[in-house]
Amino acid sequence: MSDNKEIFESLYHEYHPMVLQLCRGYMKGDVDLARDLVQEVFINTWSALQKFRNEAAYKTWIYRITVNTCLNYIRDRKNKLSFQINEDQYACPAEETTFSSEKHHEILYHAIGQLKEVDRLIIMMVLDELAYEEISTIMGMSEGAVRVRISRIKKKLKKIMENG
Amino acid sequence: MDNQIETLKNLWENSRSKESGDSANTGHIIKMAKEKMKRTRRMQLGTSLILSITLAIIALYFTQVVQLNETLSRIGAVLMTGGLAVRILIECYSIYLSSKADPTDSAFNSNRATLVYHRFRKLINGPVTVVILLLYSVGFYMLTPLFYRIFNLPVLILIDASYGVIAIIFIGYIRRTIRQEMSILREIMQIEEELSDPQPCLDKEID
Repeated sequence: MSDNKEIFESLYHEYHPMVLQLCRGYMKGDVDLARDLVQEVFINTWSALQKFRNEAAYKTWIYRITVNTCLNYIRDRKNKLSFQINEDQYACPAEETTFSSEKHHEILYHAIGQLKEVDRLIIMMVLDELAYEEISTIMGMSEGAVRVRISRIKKKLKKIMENG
Repeated sequence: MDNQIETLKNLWENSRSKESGDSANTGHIIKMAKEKMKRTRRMQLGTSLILSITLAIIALYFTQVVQLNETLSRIGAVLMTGGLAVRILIECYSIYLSSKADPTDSAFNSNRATLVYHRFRKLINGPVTVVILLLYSVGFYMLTPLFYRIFNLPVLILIDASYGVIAIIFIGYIRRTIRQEMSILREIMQIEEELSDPQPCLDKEID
């Protein structure tokens, strides 16, 4: 348990910014919802930590948990009203100060937010410079399908950005 | 097209928080994770436990309190207890299915497992529960001659009428649950569709 706690602390320390950014993109830039989602991702990470078998790198593993938590989150919030998040107890660092140039962020999250849920997650992995192979492993799609999908998403994004 | 993606990439890199996660939060997250696990276990076992207690009470009543001499009463008792027993087994299988959705699996596999689970929930919360409720109700009313020996007529009418009212309320609950399950299923199926491979005849689209 103590080992797990140490591993968890180091994972949280290392991947929190990555997970927060993914969650913020998924939640169309909403920081409060993104924080709730980040918390849910790390709750799932802790719960799954005992099952981690070194078959994948921690980064890919966290990505998988993040993607699955994102896809389940909105549905779960609608249906599991009993799961209340206590904002007071969760002392999050003042991220507002670290998110500079809000205008640019608005452009970014507005563009990503126009995409469908799965496309949103895929393009964020592209922006994070994950290899097609990694994306295909995380999403459970063939590499060819990922390539085609990314090409389509890029075209959609081009249109979105051209139209403002 | 690459210019726009490059612009987005730059914005993406700049928007990442420079702060790493505050380790002070991990203790609270671990606590919440443990509470969530407990709550899930309680919810999963709760229904089975309530049904099992009900089954035990009914079985005890039929074996220890009253004499089931007539065939009609015996069939009624079997229908009531049998329906409950089947529902308990289904709940146990449902717990097993829910554990199959692994958040560390690929998005497609995890979503597929969730889809299988909710399809099963829709089936058991819908047609299966209706059939069990029907058999249970038939069984209950088949016991009327037995109850007539125990209670006087006004009490018997009250029991039968109350059961009818409870059954109607329960049917309303089933309908609401099915609607909820249908809405969840639609969302999961939409994600499944989004996760499915696109048409492969689009090589020229690939960068």
